[in-house]
Amino acid sequence: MLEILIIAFGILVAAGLFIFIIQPIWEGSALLAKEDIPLPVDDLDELYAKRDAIYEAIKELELDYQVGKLSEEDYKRFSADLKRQAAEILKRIDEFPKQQAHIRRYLEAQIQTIRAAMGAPVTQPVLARVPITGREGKTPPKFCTQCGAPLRPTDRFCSQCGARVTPA
Amino acid sequence: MADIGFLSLTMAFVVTFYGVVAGIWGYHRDRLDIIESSRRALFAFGILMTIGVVALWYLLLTDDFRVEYVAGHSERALPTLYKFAALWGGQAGSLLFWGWILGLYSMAAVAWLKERHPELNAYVYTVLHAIALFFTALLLFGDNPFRLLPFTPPDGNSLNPLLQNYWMVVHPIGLYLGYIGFTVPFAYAMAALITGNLGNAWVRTIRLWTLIPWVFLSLGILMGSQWAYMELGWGGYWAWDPVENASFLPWLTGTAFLHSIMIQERRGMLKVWNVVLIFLTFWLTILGTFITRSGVIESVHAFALSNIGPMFLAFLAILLLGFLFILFRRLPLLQGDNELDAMLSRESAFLFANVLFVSIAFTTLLGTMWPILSELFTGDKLTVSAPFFNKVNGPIFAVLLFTIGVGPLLPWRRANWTTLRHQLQWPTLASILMILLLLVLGERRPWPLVGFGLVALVFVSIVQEYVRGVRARMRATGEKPWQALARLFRRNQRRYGGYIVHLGVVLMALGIIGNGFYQVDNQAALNPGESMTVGDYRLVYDGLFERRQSNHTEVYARIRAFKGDRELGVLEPKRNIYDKQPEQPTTEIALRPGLVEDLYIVLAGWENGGKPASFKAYVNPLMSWLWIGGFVVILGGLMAAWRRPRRLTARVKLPRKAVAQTA
Repeated sequence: MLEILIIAFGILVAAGLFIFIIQPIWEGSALLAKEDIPLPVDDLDELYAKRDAIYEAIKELELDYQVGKLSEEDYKRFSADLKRQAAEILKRIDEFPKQQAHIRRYLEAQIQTIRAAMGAPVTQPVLARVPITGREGKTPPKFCTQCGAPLRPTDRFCSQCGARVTPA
Repeated sequence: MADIGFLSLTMAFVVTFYGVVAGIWGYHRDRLDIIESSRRALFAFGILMTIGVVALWYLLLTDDFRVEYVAGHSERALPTLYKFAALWGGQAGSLLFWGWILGLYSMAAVAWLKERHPELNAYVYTVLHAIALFFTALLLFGDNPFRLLPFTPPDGNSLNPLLQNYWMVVHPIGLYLGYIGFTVPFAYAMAALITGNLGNAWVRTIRLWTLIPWVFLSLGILMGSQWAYMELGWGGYWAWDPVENASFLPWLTGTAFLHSIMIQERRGMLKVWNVVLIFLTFWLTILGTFITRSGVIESVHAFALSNIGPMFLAFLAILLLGFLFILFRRLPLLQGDNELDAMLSRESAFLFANVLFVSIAFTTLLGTMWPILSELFTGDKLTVSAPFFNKVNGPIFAVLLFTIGVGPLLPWRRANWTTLRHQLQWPTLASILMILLLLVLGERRPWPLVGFGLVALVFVSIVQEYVRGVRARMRATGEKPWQALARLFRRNQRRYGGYIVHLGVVLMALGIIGNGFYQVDNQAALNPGESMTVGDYRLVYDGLFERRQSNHTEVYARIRAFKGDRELGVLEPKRNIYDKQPEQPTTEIALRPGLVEDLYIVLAGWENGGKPASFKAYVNPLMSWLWIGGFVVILGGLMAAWRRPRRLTARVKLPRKAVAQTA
């Protein structure tokens, strides 16, 4: 009797955990369609972390100066230095196309839904691999429009035929 | 129940193996669903370990002696509290306990941090699974706590008498929560290394996840010392024995990491050093377990007897080689953003403290491993003992104390002699006054003078930090003093929490110096009615008595203590004779603690039913400050850690309208 109970318990636990573990793969698409999957905003993350670190450094510098650990001359120099760094980071954060995040997210969801409907496996966000290039959100062309040679994103002229690269 | 336990371990093995594969697979195939599945496998692991632990507790509480572990570490008459504690009283059980805590930490980490660094998740899960896999493999193939005996013995062998003590119930919990907690920051560091995401964002996340285990480890070490003080009966609290060192080593590197990570956050420097430190901290927890569990310290030859020894050794080697391989591959990404500006700055003070921590760790490790090394190379086992450690580490600790005093007074980037002189004048004055006072009182030994001088220096420098900070705030904002103090603290929690930790260290130093240099002891064999003196105390022996407890007999002496003519009360030093291990009676000291000094009495032995009985008595000056200081250290650690989790990532909520418009 006891043995049967133990076996039943074992099977129950094993089955429960198996379903629990395998479920995301089973219905992967449904998972991605949920609202709360974060966008891969690592770069922004890194910028925010830097900004916070600089803010903290400024705060600490003020305090160190107030309690007399720093000479006025050093304080002014370091303070200006930190403020310049902060401005730089803030500028970069501003330039990070926030608008695009919404759109990308929306497109991502669309793509995944369609892929799922077609029965394709669910992948990492597809658009995450497309570089963001600036406010306009224009992506540089991948191939030369004149000769068809492959281009690097930073190329301004085609390395094969010398034609000027015009944004698509 | 044993079957259920065995089954849960088997399933845990399968689940963690799957988790490792799924994590790697999901990462390289860009499959979020498989990565999520790996995450869920960690929850499954936690649940399975919980089932295993509950099963073993059930077996212990129901006295199921057919299970080898229960028969070896429990008995019918064992008080219920110790039946619970028997779970971590032996090797197999403590490995299970380890796995369980790893499961709990993993669940907590992946539940809370899932969205923090999505790019690291896959490998965080993989690393956690890999470590879990190792421990489940140990449990299944090395030392299984659910192994059955071919017969059912009528009663168990009972728990080691030394472990039947309240401190021994809680001390391992603290220690394990500390040890195993370092797995989480280790997993993040490894994931960052493997995936090449070596920015500064993850560093901020794991800072807190390092501080929490650090606090637990400090607590565990402190409770261990308390146990040693109360239970071992030699008047001290720390003997530099391999087990103690094993817990101290990761504490040292962990503390170094907590300091140097601040430089990385602030200045983007020392990236390589930091990943090395977090690796070392984790590695040393495994090494510590290996040293204490494999019996390798007692003798290299005992090593072969323990079947888990080789498994540990292999794991340690794989970890080390794997880490070095990944580290060298990622070296180009670990370049610092800045260089050291000046020799005298807070960065350099942090760096210096780091060197000191690592030096202490190194000498301690060397001393601990000396018996193995000497036996391997010369064939003779040479053991180094407490005097070696004190002689080598003592001066380094003194320099460290000095750094604690001066480091925080230096500003980032560059210190200036004028301001430094201004900062140092009061602490130096206090230090000189303290030394003069001691000289007047007749102290001539250099080390106590240096020690107390440093204590005064650091203490005043910390107080000065608070006073000047509050004053500056009051000037700037016109707040009342207490208000300024509260705001100052809230706005600079890490810094002022850290100062509290430093304050605790200073208080602990008082206890260490007091016990180390001013201990007074005496021993005597007394007949009832006779008395002995120790320090200013007179101890009158009234007689020896017995008391029966559930699984042991207490033999205790009645001693009346006097200071001058004043009677301080009755003290009862005891020895417990356990039914199952009568040859190993434990010493239960009688203690009269005080802020100035502890009176500490040991019943060493007796003849003729206590006529005479021999005693050893100690006066331990300032001992209480060690415990108070330790408490302050933990409090400061918690204060530095306590904060509402702040979201660094802007969570993008998808407004329906915006979507409609873009569409």
